[in-house]
Amino acid sequence: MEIENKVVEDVPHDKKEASKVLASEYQFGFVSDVESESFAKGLDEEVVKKISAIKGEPDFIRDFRLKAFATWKKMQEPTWAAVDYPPIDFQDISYYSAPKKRPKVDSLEEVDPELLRTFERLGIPLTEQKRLTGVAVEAVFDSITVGNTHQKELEDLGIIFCSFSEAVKKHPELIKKYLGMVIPMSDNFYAALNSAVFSDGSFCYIPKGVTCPIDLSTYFRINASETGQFERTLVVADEGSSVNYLEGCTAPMRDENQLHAAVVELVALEGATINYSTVQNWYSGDKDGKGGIYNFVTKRGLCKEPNSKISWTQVEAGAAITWKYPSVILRGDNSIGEFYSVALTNKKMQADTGTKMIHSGKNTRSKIVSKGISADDSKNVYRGLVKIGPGAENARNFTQCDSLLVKDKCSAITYPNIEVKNNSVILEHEATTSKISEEQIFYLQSRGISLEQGVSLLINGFCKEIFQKLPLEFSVEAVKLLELKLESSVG
Amino acid sequence: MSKEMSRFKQVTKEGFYEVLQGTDFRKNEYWKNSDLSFLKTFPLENFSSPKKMAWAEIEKMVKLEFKDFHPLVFVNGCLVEELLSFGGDGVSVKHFKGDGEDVFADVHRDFKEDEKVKNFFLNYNFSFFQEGVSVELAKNYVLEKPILLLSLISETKEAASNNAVMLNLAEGAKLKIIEVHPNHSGEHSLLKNKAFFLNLKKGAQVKHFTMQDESEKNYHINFTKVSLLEQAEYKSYVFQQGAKLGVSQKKISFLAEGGKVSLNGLFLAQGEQNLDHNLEVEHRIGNCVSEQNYLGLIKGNSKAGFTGKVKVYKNAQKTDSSQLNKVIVLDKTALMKTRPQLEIYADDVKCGHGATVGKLDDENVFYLMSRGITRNEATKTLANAFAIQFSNDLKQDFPELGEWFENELLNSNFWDDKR
Amino acid sequence: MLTIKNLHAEINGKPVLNGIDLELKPGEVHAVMGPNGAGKSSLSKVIAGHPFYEVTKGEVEYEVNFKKRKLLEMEVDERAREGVFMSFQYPLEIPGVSNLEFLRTAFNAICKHQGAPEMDVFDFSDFVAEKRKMLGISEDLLERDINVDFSGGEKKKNEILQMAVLSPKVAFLDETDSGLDVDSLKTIADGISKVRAKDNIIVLITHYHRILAYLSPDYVHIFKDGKITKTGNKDLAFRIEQEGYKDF
Repeated sequence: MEIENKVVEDVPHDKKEASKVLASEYQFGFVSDVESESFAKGLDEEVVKKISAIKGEPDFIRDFRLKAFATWKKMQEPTWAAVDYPPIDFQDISYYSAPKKRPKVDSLEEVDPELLRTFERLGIPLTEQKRLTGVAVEAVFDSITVGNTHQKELEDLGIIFCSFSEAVKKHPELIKKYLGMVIPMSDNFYAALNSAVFSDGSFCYIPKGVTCPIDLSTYFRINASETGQFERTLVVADEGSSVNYLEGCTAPMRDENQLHAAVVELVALEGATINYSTVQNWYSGDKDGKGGIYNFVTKRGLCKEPNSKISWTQVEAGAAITWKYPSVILRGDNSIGEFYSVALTNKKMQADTGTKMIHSGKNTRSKIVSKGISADDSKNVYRGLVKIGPGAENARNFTQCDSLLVKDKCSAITYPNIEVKNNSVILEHEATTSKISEEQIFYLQSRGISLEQGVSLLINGFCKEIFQKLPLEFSVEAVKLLELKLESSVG
Repeated sequence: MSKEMSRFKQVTKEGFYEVLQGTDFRKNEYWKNSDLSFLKTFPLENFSSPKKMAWAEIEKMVKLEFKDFHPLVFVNGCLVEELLSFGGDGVSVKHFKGDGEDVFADVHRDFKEDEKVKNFFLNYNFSFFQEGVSVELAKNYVLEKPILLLSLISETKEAASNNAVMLNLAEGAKLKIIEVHPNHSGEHSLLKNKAFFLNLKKGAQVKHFTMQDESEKNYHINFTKVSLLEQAEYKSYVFQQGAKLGVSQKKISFLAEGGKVSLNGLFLAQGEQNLDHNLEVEHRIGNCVSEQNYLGLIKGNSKAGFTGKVKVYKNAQKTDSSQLNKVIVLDKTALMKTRPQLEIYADDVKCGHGATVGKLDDENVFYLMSRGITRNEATKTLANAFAIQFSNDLKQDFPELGEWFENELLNSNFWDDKR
Repeated sequence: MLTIKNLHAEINGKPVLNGIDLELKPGEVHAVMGPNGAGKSSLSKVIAGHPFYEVTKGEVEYEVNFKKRKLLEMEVDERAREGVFMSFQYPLEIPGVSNLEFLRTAFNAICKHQGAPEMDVFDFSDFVAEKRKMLGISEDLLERDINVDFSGGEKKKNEILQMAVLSPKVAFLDETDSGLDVDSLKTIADGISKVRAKDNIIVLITHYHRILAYLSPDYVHIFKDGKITKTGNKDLAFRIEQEGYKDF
């Protein structure tokens, strides 16, 4: 196995400007001029061993990877999702890419300055000014964590917030205990793949009784070409603790498709609360469907003990194909699971997303609010499962899934599944489909509101419930993102 | 039989066996909620001997409190021709005995080759076609009395029956059909596979009631395909409470604007029963209205499924479709699986669905108990009231049934505490 | 000043206006009456720029701030920002969008257009509160989504509130008086009179003379088959009330 050294070419300056002018074009589509170090393409047991060796991992992680790889080899790529794409050649992907100058976590000064500029362009300054806003950021650049703010402040509270690799070294006992607890390596094809080759990611542990005073945030960026990104996030909230976790994603514009197969595991112990928010804006390909990220992600939370709560909020506006079902297993009595989602598709995007709420504890509650917006030639699928087992006495679920269609070449598909094996539960499901009507637009316009503003009012009205769930800063970003995306689709 | 026909039949049969031997139905999306494991051992051959029956004999077997209908009686899958009471001007009734497949084959041909698994029972019906009836109504002909389709079994061995019924209505024609599958307490399991094909021309109307009360050892598959032209209307009521496995499937296709369809259902599942409903409404063209309204009560170790798919094709603008599935689960051991599915490819549509699955309203139970009624009794009263909604709607469209169905419903052994 | 010349329009290929000539001057109140289907509502929709209507002939000249402009060439929102207002006969319900937010967005769009400073949430709330009280609209109505679950009367009042907030130069009020009880009618009429000023034009489209008793129009036009068949003073409205339209 050779390690390739390469410098990623930059996009010519004038091109960038042009793309900025076309407001609806992808604004994070630049490529950063950072020297990166990648493996040659291909995947076999040696590659897995090599990843593990480069990272200097203990045996238990290496074994975890190898076992996952063996499992993956026997598995079939899932085909049940309502998305179409040419078969992926898993041997045509490089499974490791890292910025060549490996920055140390605790000294941002040592980070490649070009990398820092990249983050600034992404609106994620890792510097002092960000500290003042009260968000701790963990940034993952081509699968490698490059910087982390607020470390000291968090350490004082006993909060661990670091890269996955660092956690493996410093807190092996926690990793050993929780890794794969919620998503076993054999869970599905992509989870198995991730378990074998994950490069880095984030780990977060909130100790007993601690309310994390600041929002924790991870930004993911795929930069190098022909690499897959396989990060892993594990958040553990110990008894009585609580945390808000934010996640953002962008990638450069490239003609070829890139694979992102992440795993996110959340564990909430007794009385703990985890709010996990995502604003996903991976590059979605051009208007003809060329390029874009394949976003095949497994996210699941476990309300392991009584009175715990896990809430997923997602704004999915990017990626060529999304295959993602953030779920909650409600095992602890009185635990609560929530899923608030806005999924916007335009151009030739395809999204098959939704959630699973698995009730097994008594008095468990779940709420699902899903808003799908489809425009242009895109396909937007909500797929959900609410399963209530015989032990889930007095469980409740409320599901609402609404679709909004903009223009007539798109499609909105709803596949909710409901399974109830209990006589003490109440489960309600509602779904509506509507369009932005010409009459509504006329009404707003006849009061002096422009077409764009009118559309944005209607979209925000449609998604209000979800945006309210996001932290303010994120919510503003989400609103802007949707407006930008839809501008070219309306009118 | 034409050459092409026999070849087609051959292909269908091969397809049927291929699926039978090679498919794990449990893993198939379409049959997910139906337990078809009995197929491994069940003799698939039809009843061999037709049996004649006089009406007096039939009356002993089935309690019917309503009169005035055109009987269409099948015994062991064979039509009792002597009992036919309609025909003549404006109505033509044809009886096919293994030689009329061509008529039905046309409809079969609509079904795609690659949907072999989904159309499994249809292919079975066609490959093993026993007898069929077609009823044609001329333009603007209104059949005053309803057709009573009675499907009886008198045999005492394990066997199957494969029948098809075709109803062709010319412009403006109207009819009602009451389909009854009564309970016989035989010792053997029987498989009944019925297929209905309805073609409704402009402005034609059909009202269709199905009462499935087979004995608890039987397997019952009931498929209805309806094609509607301009302003045609189809309204159906399906009641299922019998059979070990009861599957009711409806496939609706709107082929011209202005069509209206209303699909209603009630199911009561108990013991080890498995009742499944599979609805598929295709809005191939705009300005049509469809609604689905299915209620269910389940208890014991029963399993019930409801899959309601609405597909709105591109350009099917101004489609108005609604769907409601409400199910009360009375025991922890009973399992309900509900799958409402919306596939929308047009933007100017009104489509919604709603589902509630769960227990009876606590407050209502409390209200009754606060007046001195026991919990058991209160539950029973409220469950009853829930089911009666269906019977009330049915009465609006089938006043000729009088109190018969309501009495059948109230006297159902589903309400007995023991089961 | 709004000058309508030989205006023809159709909807789905069906002609609805067959040559309308009308001159509206600042300070005037016009009433437009006529049987159902005469083209009254169509006129106001064409003036506002409703997407379903197609103008086949004629033009509309709009003079605002000493500039003459061709109204039909302007976008719907531009017309509104230049002071053209239409109250809807059947105001639309828009779920998810709060009434207050909507009003403020519209108000600020017009402010921005006219070079006036935009108002922040607090100032705007005070500003609206005054108008709202004048029309007897409860505060809660502002918090709710646009027209969703409003009663018929509330919807009509909400339209007049929008007019009061946006203070247009030309207002077409399409059957603002229908379906109202006596008290609401008086409140709405009072509201309209307060917005009425020397420099604006109000066009009342109505079936009844009731509202005209409050607002006393300068001209009354009778519409039939997409044309104006008679123009007179307010006495004409009273004659129609008694005799019907058959003679016109």
